[in-house]
Amino acid sequence: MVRLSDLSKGEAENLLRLPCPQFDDSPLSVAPDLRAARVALVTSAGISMKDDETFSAGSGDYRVIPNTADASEIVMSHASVNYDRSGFVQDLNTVFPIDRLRELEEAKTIGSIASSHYSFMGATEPGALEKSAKNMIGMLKEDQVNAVFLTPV
Amino acid sequence: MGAPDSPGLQRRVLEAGLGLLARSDVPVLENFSDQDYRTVNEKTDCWSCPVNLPPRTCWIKYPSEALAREISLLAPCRVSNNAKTGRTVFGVSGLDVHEIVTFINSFIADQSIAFSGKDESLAQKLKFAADDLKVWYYEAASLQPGTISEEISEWFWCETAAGETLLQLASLMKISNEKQLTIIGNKGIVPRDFQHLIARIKD
Repeated sequence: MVRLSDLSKGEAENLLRLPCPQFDDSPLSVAPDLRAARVALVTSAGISMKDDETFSAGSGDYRVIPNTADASEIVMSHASVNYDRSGFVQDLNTVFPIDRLRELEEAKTIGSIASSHYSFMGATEPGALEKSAKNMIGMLKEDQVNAVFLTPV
Repeated sequence: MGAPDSPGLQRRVLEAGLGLLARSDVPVLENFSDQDYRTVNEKTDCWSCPVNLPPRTCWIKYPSEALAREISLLAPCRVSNNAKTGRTVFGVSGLDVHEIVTFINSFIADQSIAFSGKDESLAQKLKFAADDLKVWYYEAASLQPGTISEEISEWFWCETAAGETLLQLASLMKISNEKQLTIIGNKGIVPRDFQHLIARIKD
């Protein structure tokens, strides 16, 4: 949601330097009707349950956030000091919109919510995430998830 | 997902994102209409610290004492804020705030302190301690209505003894002979926008 114009000059320039890949191919599957979708959240906010292991910089693994988790049980160990976490301190939904997803389920806008959601460490090289991402996909399939909402942080 | 405590906006962002699933003209890159996003920010009241902390000029020679005093002054604000929000995100270091202060001040006093962390290095522990100290202050500061991140960050790094302590910590880690301390001291304690303040520590 943040705009380049909202960022400091250094932050904006840093983002503009990132490569923006082009894709020639199409998605592998057809998206479900939202009313029948089972949705999971996947975030790179580096959040985890309080009793779970924290992330370290460059870590390629993920942490499972149960759908039943309470906001007070979730902490953040994102490596980047430039990532302003004051929004997260005030409202978990700024990076992990779980309350909003529950509202969509209640309103029957979506079919259901996954049993588990997944958190990665942002600012990690994509190659380091590949093995964990494949493992997570297996977990999502097992949970009958057919749509995910990504929150890149 | 927009400003904190903006459920309507957050929900519209989520719906707009999920709504893209119906598109067949992929890949899709869409801007989200930001009229509401702007409104939220413009409506925000001006933030100020919930208690009067002693100004920097009063404690600059004794920041560690000032840090302890700040914590005692801000503690009730943090308790009230966390009761209001029903949560805390403090705790990534596994230390309480007083242990954090002791730990960081020990390193500032003697960079060769013994550390026997089971699963983490001294540098990583210092980073998590610094992150937790910031979170603790942010939670206290968030009690005040109209909280916006830029003002809290400016306040923390420019006006508090906690910010001054972390600047001092970073300046010492930067010149360490240990590589991981140097890396985290350079990039893991002080945000890019406030790195220039480290120079005033050296003065």
